[in-house]
Amino acid sequence: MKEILTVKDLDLTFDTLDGPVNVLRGVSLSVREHERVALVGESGSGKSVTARAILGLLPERNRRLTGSVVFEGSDLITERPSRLRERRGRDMTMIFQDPMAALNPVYTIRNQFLAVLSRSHPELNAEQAEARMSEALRDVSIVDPTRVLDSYSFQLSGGLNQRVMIAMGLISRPRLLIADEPGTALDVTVQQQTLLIMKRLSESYGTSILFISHNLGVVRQFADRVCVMYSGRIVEEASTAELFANPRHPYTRALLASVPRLSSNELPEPIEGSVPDPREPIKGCPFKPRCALATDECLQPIPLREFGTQRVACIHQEEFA
Amino acid sequence: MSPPLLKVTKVNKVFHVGSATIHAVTDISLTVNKGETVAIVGESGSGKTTLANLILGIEVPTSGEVELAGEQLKGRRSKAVRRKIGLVQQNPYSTLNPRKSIGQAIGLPLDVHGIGSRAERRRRIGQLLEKVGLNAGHRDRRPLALSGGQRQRVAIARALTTNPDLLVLDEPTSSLDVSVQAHILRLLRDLQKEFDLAYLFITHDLGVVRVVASRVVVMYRGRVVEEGSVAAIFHSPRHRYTQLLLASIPTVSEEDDAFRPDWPWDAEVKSGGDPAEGCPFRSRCPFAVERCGQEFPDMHGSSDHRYACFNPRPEASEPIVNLQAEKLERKKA
Repeated sequence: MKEILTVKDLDLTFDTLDGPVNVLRGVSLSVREHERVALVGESGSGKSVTARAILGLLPERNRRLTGSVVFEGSDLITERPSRLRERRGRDMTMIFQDPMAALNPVYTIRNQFLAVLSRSHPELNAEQAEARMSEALRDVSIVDPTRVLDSYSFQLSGGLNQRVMIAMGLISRPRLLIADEPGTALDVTVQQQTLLIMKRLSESYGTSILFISHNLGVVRQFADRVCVMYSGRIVEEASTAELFANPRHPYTRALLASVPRLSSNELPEPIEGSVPDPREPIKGCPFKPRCALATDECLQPIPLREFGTQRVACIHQEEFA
Repeated sequence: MSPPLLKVTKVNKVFHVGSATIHAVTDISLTVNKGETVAIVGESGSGKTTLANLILGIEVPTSGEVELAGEQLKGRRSKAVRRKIGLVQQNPYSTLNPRKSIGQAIGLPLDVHGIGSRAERRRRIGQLLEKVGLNAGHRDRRPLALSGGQRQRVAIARALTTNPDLLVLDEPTSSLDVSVQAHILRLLRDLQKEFDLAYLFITHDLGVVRVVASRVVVMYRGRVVEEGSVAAIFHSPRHRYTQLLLASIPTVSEEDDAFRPDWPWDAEVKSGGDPAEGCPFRSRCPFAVERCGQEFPDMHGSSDHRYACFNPRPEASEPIVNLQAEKLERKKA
């Protein structure tokens, strides 16, 4: 299938008072049509900043960004800012983690929704806009759209707010939706429901999703393909089924081992050591100091190698054969 | 037999907010024995944290009793009682004062309770830091210089300063990465063994409950809807809400999937709030019967496994895992 988003060798450095901080170190990933791709990693791995770089939401000052972000044929990094602004929020939208923080408490939902809607459909009159918004809210299983539109975000539950965000994110029928930890702030039963709604709508609208999460369980339910991030780079990429059945990178394995299991009484295995400091230059594999398989060869640059449809940035793959 | 370490009997807490009355906690009874871990599970608004506050003495119950080692706790608590219960909160980024050093943070309870001389306190702080996997050198650092996991270790050290018998752990790992969570869970286990601590482990994550707790109390809208041993609850949940919770756990392998009960029904939170009478879960429950709207069910079952439901999930003749494995076989065939 056609790729609608192709990120290549994205490298990002912030210049801070403590010196340069290398946040992304050559991130490459792609999202195809109708595909849900998950970006998983722990805090500080660079997931959210990747999303922001794709959308062009990074601060302009004190940053060095190289590489390319090709979205439907044009490179967003070199594109004119005015053109980028036009596409952002229409062809490419984003849902943020905490819906309570993303919605403005001093405006009603209707007010905010109208602002979003008028970007993609400026031609609608008030009545048509109202109908369109109600329909969008019904699509996310909100039974009383008028009440929700009349409300302020603080009057609604977290689950409802998240659904409003999803409805707003999808109203322009974007080609790509970037969802940054959607539902993390919600209760498990509500989160489950929210993800199902998002999955169903993305399928019926043909929207691709780049899904950012730290929760492997959620990723397994939601995504078609998974990219595992560690320390500003992608260390493994595979279809969801493959990744969970046969994780190849030692980090992916360690991460999976640290999840508490229903099938075991044992406490999960922690990962020893800590994440490398992004201010320090890293030679070779960033996971080397914490890895049981590490050898001197791991100090060389480690490219992603292909194993069938799986891509892994690790030279010790024979051991897993 | 000696009395349980903590005994909560028929505790209620009602808040008055403007003209509204909120029943945050209704008729909760539970016991925690020395050295055991009891998990309190429920979603936001279920009253978990209010319950913790009642036990800690931060809030005073509207009615009901809280006993610690046989002694009834009323009104203002003596220092000797307060020393016996420690607290670790959810977010180590907001529970440590950024302007105070780690040593000061851990030393505060020692000052408050007037324990030890200056030199002794200093030594104790160093000891505690080592107990939680840090070292005495962290004493002079500020929270800002520490990672989330390290801060949570500091919070645990602080809770241990007064040699408590009971730690109330309010979502102690929810804001941490899984790999760090695993460290903290191990640390808590080791400390429990060493000091014979009892834990009241408040969480919304059933996956964690499975590996840390011996007993589980499931709360919904301020009430206990089911409680029992971990084995009983995970093998054969009876209350429909527990069933839904277990079915909603995001698992990471097929092996784990087999431990989840089925939930093919819709259980959306209905707008317009909860019903005032009867079972608060009934507006979401596909199994609600007429009686559910009239009264809240009494607890059924044995002391090992009790539940409050008029139309419970049938008792499984076999644990869920066997049933699910069979189904998988059939699907493959």
